[in-house]
Amino acid sequence: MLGPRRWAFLGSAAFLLILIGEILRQGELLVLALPLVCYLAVGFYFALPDRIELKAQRSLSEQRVLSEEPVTVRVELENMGAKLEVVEFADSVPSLLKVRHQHSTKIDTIPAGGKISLEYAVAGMRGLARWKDLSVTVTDTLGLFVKRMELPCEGEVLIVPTFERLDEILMRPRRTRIFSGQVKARLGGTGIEFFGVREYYPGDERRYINWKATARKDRLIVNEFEQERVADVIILLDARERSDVAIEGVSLFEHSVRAALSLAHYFTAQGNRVGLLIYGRYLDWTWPGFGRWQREKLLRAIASAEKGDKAVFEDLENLPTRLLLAGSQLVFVGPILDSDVKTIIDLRLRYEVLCIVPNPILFESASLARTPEVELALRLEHLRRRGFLTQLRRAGIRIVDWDVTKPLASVVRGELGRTAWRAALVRRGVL
Amino acid sequence: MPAQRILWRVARTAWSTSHGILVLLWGMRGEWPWAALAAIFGVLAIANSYGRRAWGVSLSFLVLLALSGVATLWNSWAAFGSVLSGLIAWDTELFARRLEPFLDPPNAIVWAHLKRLGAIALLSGALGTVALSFTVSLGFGWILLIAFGFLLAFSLLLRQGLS
Repeated sequence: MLGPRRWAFLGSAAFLLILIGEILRQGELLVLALPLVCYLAVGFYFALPDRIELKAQRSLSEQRVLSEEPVTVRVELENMGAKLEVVEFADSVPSLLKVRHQHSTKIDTIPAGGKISLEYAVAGMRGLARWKDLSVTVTDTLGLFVKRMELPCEGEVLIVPTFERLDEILMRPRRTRIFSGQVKARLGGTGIEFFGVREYYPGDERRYINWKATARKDRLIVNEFEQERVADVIILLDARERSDVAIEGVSLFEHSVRAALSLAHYFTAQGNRVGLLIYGRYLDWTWPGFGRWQREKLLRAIASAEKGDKAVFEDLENLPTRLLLAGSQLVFVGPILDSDVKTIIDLRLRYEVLCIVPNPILFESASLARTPEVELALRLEHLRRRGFLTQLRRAGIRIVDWDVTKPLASVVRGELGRTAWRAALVRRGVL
Repeated sequence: MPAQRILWRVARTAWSTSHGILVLLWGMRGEWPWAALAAIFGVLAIANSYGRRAWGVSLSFLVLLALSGVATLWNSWAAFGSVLSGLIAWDTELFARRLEPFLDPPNAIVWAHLKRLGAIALLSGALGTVALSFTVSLGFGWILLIAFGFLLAFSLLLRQGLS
């Protein structure tokens, strides 16, 4: 009970005593009201100053941390006016964070021109945590006068989940950009891997002359190498609620997020132009770009990704393909549903498509009791899933069926690395 | 001893004192039903201080005011003492509850509060002593004027508080 309620309570009680005393013509009842009247009078005498001038400032120990890593938040409140007897301040901790040490509330006195501070530690799993205002309640000692205010005091911290560093993904997008990079450009020129031979032109380096071919053809022949350039890569993160599986508070979507982070980190580190589309709650589009700044943007976007169940995004049909650069490498991350197969195959007509698919059946089966019925259901589900994944593979889409209990880096190395590429060529009879 | 514990002790002691005075008064006069009533409400007030119901504090105080009002028929000094002690109990318990969510509140706040409450108790005690010692006969008109004045002052204070 603070402020006007306290006034009303004490005042009403005193007034009732006086009124009854008068009605009964008993002066002693009036005397009983004296302590209450004194309380109100003293409260009025020590009322709050007319102007309260407070300034809040926030500082965070880190701007970016990994999951569950503590961040120390320090809020400083400066009083630029008269002395304030009781100041309560409560910092509203963003919902994705949990207070780990100390409290996010404090009560204290601030002398004129003085400062008080509040320090606490928070930690969270993933996302961009933003603080906006600081709630401050100023009262007199007796709590008869109250002034509540929201002081602007912003701050933010990005919590990035731990993700694996990928070491090798071979890709062959239809189009590359002019800058040199690490993606095979299907064009002859300077590079490392042998691409073919051609006739010698004045100006060609002598060390590239293929002497055996020259001897056979009786004219100068030089070796050509495959050019290596940067490419456009678009990561599509599936954030649809309906494609997610959550068991005992652990969501498959979190694995997709980690995979997307690994991919974004890898592709930007390789010098590619990388964009991101998070498809689910709404279309969260990050324009393609190069470099560290872009990597930071991608990390922020992926770390803040949230699931959504908007009817318009139930299927991949509404994927805004006009945003996706023609001929680029699309990397779809998420469990593919039956209804998505047609759309993904259609995408293959314009783009190179690679799908990193966390296996929802293996994920869910880990928590199921293994009865014969469950075993049968799992087998049927596996078969059904294998069916549509095969359909996608036949359409030329590269699929990484990822059992999330295994490290993504080793799975990707096995499926998308140099060895896997050669094995695929051997299977096709190219090598 | 942490200052918060002092507050709780003051509150419980004040509840015991306020109800104890009434129990003693009625007990010595042989008014056992009234003494029992005061004792029951005293126990309830103290029991409430261990619970979480903050509204129970104000309710206990209202009951105490009513009992003290009745007690004026036997002894005005005891009734006045009981109300004064009840006010201290009500205020300290509400303040202790207000401090509860905070981790380690500074002792200075608690002592400043207790000092001000002490000043109120002294002022009320002095005024009450004067009022009970010197009886002045006032006409109904004067009393009505005082009541009106109090009402006016109270509404002005309330306005100040609301602004």
